[in-house]
Amino acid sequence: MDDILKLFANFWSNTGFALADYRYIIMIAVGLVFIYLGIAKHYEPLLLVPIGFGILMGNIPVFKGLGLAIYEDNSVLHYLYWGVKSGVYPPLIFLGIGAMTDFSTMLARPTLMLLGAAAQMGVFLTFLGALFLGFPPNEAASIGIIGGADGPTAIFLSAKLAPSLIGPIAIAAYSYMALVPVIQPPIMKLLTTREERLIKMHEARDVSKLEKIIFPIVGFLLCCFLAPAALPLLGMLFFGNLLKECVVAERLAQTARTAIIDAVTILLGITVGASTQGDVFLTPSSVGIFFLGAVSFGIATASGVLFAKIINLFLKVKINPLLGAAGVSAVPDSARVVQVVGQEEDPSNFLLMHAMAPNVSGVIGSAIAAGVLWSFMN
Amino acid sequence: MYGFEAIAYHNGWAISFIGIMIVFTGLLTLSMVIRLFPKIIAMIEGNGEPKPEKKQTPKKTPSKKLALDSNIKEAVRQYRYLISWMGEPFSLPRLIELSEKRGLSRPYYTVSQLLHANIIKPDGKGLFFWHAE
Repeated sequence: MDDILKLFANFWSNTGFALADYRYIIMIAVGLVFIYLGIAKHYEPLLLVPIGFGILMGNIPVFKGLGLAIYEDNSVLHYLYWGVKSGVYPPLIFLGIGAMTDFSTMLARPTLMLLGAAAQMGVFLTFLGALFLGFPPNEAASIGIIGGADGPTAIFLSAKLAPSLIGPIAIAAYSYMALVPVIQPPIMKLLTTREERLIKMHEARDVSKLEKIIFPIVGFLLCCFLAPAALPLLGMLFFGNLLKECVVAERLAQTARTAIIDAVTILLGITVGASTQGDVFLTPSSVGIFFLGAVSFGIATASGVLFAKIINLFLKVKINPLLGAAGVSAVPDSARVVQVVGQEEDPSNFLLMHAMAPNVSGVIGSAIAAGVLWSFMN
Repeated sequence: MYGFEAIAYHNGWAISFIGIMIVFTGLLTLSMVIRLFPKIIAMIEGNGEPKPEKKQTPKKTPSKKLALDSNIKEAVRQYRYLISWMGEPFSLPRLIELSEKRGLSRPYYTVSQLLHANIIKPDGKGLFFWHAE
């Protein structure tokens, strides 16, 4: 009988119930919130559901030494996490994004690209804010890129500059991306008048197929000559887009925008979620990163809107300043938010396709910003 | 080290200023090159003159009827099927999201065309319904 009790006690001491502490419980609650937001509220479900479940997986308290946890060598999750730590997954996601992105609105109205550049001010101002709060430069740069609202770029830069912060930075970046419909509208309304929100955009010109084929090649060469450190991200983005536009490689484009991006999103979501192991993740610096991430996102949105208003001072035909908010590269969520906020004022105002121009240029801008920061820190 | 002292010590002001300038320069240069595309293409094609751009006039009314080319007719068929699967009324972002997931080409452009052609109409409450026969 003693042996049975001893075995049972031994088994009990290795269960999650005995090993759990409050930090694991907090993180499991966070994971459940992510899953709820993804499924019930439809906030970025393709990201929040895998990340949310990953958080649950990473916060099952396990006996150290069995090779189960993500931070233990030889665990399965550790091997899958390699793609995050090495920066392999983000360029593959960019390949898929390139293969599904239509740049024609941007090609038709290249002026709107500047809104994508303006929104990147959030990255650099947050970099200053993080330095101000005492983060070392490499960590400050990784935190600043959250303002680019581009999850893969944030993970890529963190993997290169501050691997220990990948978890909090990725969670902050994806959380704020998912909360675009909540964060952006108040800032947009605060910084614009009703008259400005009512501005209708003119019909854009048609873009020829040849222009769409030339763009990824010229864009790649120009951007990567200017910021070579952006090569892994922009190379894959423009390559994916060339596959899409050249038509003759449609099969590859189809694979990139479906099988590859879906598989990598699952692996990235699960492993980033699992990396938020309570005892490693819940630290004062994680709280600071979340705070700075929100600031970064707000500044990026405000910068885009204010820059659109500045441009309007010089334009005969005004642009709707709401489009500036789409300069953050959360594709296509921030463009959708522009559409919704514009339609609240005038249901016949269709801004979605116009907002895609600063939106996709924001993707290019945030990749350049990441490349610049990476090169400065080396 | 904290505060402005930390920013100055780590050269933060210069890094931020140059960083912003590089991003602006990159996208500004790219936008200027893109602006030249129609002229370059016209030169490559040999006539030396760019194709006249569609006259840019403000949208007066969303009920303007456009001629549908054969590509759009095919898109109408695909979107009709998608919308019948979604149910009506439907939200525009959801339609675009689903069309992207299904790999329909140029969903933003196509949905824009469908709106202009009055095939998709707003219901006045922020949602839309299918209007074509």
